[in-house]
Amino acid sequence: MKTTGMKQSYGTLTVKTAMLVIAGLLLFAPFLFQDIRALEVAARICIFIVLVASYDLLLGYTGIVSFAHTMFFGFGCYGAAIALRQMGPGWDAVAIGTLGGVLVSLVVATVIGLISLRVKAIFFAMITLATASVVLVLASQLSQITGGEDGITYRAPDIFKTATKLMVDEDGKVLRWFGVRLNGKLAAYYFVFTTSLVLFLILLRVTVSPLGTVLKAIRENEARAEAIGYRVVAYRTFVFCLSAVMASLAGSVYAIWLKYTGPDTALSFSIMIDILLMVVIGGMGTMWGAVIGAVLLVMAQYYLRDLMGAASEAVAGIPLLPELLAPDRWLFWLGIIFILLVYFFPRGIAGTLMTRGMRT
Amino acid sequence: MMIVVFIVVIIGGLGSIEGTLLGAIIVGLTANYVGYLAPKLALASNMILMMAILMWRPSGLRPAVK
Repeated sequence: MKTTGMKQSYGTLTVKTAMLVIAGLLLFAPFLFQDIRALEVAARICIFIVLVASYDLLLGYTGIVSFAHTMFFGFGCYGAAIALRQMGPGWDAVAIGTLGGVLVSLVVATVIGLISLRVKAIFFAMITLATASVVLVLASQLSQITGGEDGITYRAPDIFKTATKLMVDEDGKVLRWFGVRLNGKLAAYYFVFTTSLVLFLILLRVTVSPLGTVLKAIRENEARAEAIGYRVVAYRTFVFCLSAVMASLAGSVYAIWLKYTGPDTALSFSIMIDILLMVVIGGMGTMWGAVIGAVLLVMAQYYLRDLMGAASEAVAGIPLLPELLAPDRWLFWLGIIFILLVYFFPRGIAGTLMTRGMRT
Repeated sequence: MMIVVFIVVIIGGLGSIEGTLLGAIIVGLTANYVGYLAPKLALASNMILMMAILMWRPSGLRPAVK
């Protein structure tokens, strides 16, 4: 998969090393960070990497602006959630729910794509926004099926229960490896990790295939791509469907991990804004950017407040500084960090780093 | 509010003043009448209106640039 024969720039090497480090940290996350919250963060990072990568395929590679990505994510979540609640915890429910979510996403994406991908970018963005908000309203109103604003709680398949023992020692207790209990939580984390890895690798494979090149051609010059003989509308619809399916699968995995699905965790526009920020921070048009953006933003959302609390205590003696660094102001600092990141990395972190050092 | 403004401009067609007037009247009237006749539907009425109009006229009612 690697481009052989080309001399890689220092920036690219840095980005790829960072990727290896992140992959390693995520792979051994349950053993390296032994608390529940860290595991939660790691799983969230895995799922958001897939979600952001699939959105990057739309925005960065093909140049389609869509606001409906959380809608597809939500279809996956609600598909798995409804099936698991109606049929009880089991793999058949997971399979049916996931397939149902994927099918709904596929149909909706095809309809939206065929009807509206020929219009101008801004109108397409508005139509996706409209569809997404209609679905959000539907999810909160059809409380018989979706549980309304309260959402649905359900049980995941038995192997993912915390009480499940994967391996037992002689006394019948849960076996420990390096101090980590081999219980269902670990199985659930590795389920999330493996699925995310597979989905991400599929996306990566798509971008380096001839299809990826066509998509870039469409982004750079639509008329020319059409003139060369590529059917732009067909390609755009296909990519829209592909990313919808990926988002839906990520949603199903997230629903299984979280054991709860509601409008806030699956459909809200704040998730959409998070995804957009991750793509922009990481760098549009590179799959590595999706990884960097997802890791940074999720980490910031979970740990910036703790970090600021520590900083505020560290500077307790100095006037004004403790108030400025108070944990309550974490959103303010998050905003400042974003502005600085966009200012110093205009093409996203991965994008800017990979172009830097090209000349050498 | 921002979204409503955006919807009005899109419905009217980018760059045209008459379009905005038309869009504003349509959006205002639909929002109120739908809210009166079918309150549940009112949450999504703006969006459904915009989708319907964009399906019918993909560049808005009175686009300045054809």
